[in-house]
Amino acid sequence: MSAPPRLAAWIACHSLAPHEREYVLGDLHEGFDGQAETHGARAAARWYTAQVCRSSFPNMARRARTAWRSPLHRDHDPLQTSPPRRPGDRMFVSVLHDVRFGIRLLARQPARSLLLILTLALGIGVNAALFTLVNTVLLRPLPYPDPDRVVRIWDRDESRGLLYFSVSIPHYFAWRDSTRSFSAIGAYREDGFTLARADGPAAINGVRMTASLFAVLGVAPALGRPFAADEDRAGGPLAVVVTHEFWRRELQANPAIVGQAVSIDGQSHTIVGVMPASFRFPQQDRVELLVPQRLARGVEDDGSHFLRVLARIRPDTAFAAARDDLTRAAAQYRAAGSSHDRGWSVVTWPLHVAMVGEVRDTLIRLQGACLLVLLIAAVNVANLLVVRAAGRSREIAVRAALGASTMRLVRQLLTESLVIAVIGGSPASRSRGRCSAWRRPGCRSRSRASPISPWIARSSCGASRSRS
Amino acid sequence: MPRAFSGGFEQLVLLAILRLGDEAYGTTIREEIESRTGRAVTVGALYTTLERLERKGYIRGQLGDPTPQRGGRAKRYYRMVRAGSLELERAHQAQASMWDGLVPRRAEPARRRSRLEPEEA
Repeated sequence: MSAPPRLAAWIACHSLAPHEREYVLGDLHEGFDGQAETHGARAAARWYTAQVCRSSFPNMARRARTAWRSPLHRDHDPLQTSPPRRPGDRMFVSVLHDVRFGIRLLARQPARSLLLILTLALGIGVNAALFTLVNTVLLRPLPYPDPDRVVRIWDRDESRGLLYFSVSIPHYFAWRDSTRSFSAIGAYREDGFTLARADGPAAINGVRMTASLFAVLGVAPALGRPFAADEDRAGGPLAVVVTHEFWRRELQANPAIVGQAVSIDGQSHTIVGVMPASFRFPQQDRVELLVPQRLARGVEDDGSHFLRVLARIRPDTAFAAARDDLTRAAAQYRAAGSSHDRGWSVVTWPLHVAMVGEVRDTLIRLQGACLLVLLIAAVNVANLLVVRAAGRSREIAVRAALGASTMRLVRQLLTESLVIAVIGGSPASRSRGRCSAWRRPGCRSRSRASPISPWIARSSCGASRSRS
Repeated sequence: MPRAFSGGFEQLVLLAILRLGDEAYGTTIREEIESRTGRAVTVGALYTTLERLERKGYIRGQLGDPTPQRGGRAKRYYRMVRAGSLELERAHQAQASMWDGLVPRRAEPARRRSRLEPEEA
C-alpha cells in the first residue's frame, strides 16, 4: 500500500491544531486509500496534494481562531473547558501576537511604512517580473523531447551579407544525403491556406513541411498518424494534419475526424492526424494546418532559397561534430556543384539559441540592472529599519528587563520584518500578467502555463526578509 | 430580531449528518455531499463548518476508538442535537415559503447582443 506524499502530509500536519490532527489526518489518509484503490497511486497522490493545498488556509485560520480565543494560561485553567494548550500552540499564539504588533507598528507611522513597502514592492516587483521573463525565454527547455539535440540550419553567403538565409532545395537534399550526424533532417515553410467553410472561405495559417519534421521535433499526432511516405512525394494523395486548436474550433472536436476530407485551397485533403494540445510549432505563431511540402530533386534551381531546415543530432554525436560534418558535406557539394553554389556556405545553431539569439544578451543585461535596483532598494529598506530600531531601544530594553530572552526578541523583530516583506512582496505576483504577454515565439504554452514560478516569488520574498 | 439562517453549506453538512446517522464522520460526510450534490468538498472547508456548527450547538462531536485503517488514527463522529434539527426545520420552512408559487426551471443564458446588430424596431 502506498503512502501519502511526505511533503503534503507534513504541511497538513503542521497547518492543523494539535488536537485536530488525529481525526483530520485520519480522514485524509482514508480518502487517499480510497483514491488509490479506485484510481491508482498517482491519482491518489494528486488528490491528497490538492486537498492539502486547498485546506491549509482554512486549517490555519481555524487553528489561529481557536488559539486566539482561548485564555492565555489555558494550561492552568482549573475548569479545563477546552483542549489544553500545547507548546506548539503557545508558539503559534506568540507569533500571532508578533504579527499583530508588527501591523500596529506599521499603522502607527503610516508615511514611513508606506515608504518601506513601496521601496520593497518596486525592487521585488521589477525583479520578479523580469526574472519570470528570463526564466520563460532563456532557462526553460523547449517543449520537445531532448530539445538540445534539435538544430536549425541556414545557408550563408558572406560576400552578399546573407548571414542567416533560407535554404535551397538542392542544398537540403545534399545535406540530408551526405551527412551522418543527424537522425533526421526536415524542412518547412510558412504558408497561408484557404479553408472552405459552410459560411464561406476562411484564411488559415499553416506550414508546408516534410514528413521527417515530425521525427526531428520528436512529436506525433495525438489522433491518427503523421504523413505517410507517398503523401510526402509529388503526385501522392493530399493529406493534412491539424492542430488541436483547429480541431476544436473548426471540426467541433470530432474524435472520428481522421480519414474525413476537408477542402483546402480548393482541393480535397484527407485529415490524417490531430496534434496534441501541447504542441507548438517552433518559431511560428498561430500555425493550424500542417500540409506536406512535396520536394522534388532537380525541379527548382539553386537560386531559390525558401526552406527553413531543422535537424536532430544523433544521441551519440556532439554538436561540434555534427557542425563539422555539415560543413564538410557543404564543401563537398560546392566543389562538385554548379555556378549557383559559389560563395554559399552553411551555418547551424541549436534551436533554442536560434530562437533567443537576438534578445539573450539584452535580457541578461536587463536582469543584471534589475538586481542592482533590488540591491539599492534593500539597502534603503535596511537603513529605514535601522532608524526605526534606534527609536525602539527603550522598548526593547523594557522587554528584556521583563524577562524576554534574546531568542524571543529576535523572533519578534524577524516576524515584524516578515510582515513588511509579505506586504511589500505581494505586488510582485501582480506583475505576472504583464510579463506573460511577452513570450517566446511559437511557444505560447510555456509562458501561459506558468507566468510566475512559485519559487521565484518565494526567493524574492526571502531576499526581502533576509535583508530586513 | 430573528436569528439569521445557516448558510447553504452548513445546511448540506447538517443534512448529511442526519442521513448518515451513527456513521457520520469527516470522510463519510464529505463523500455523502459529493455523491449527492456533485460538488467537490475540501477537508479544510468541511472541518471549518463542522467546528462552527459545533460552536453554535447544532451538532456534537465525539472521538471514536483508533482503528487499524486510516494509519491507525481515530475518527471523530458527529451527531445532531435538538437545536440542529430545529434549525434545519426552520431553514426548510423559510425556503419552502420563498419557493411557494414559483416553478423551478433552468435559467436560460441571456443572449448577448452584438454591437453591430441592428436594434429591433
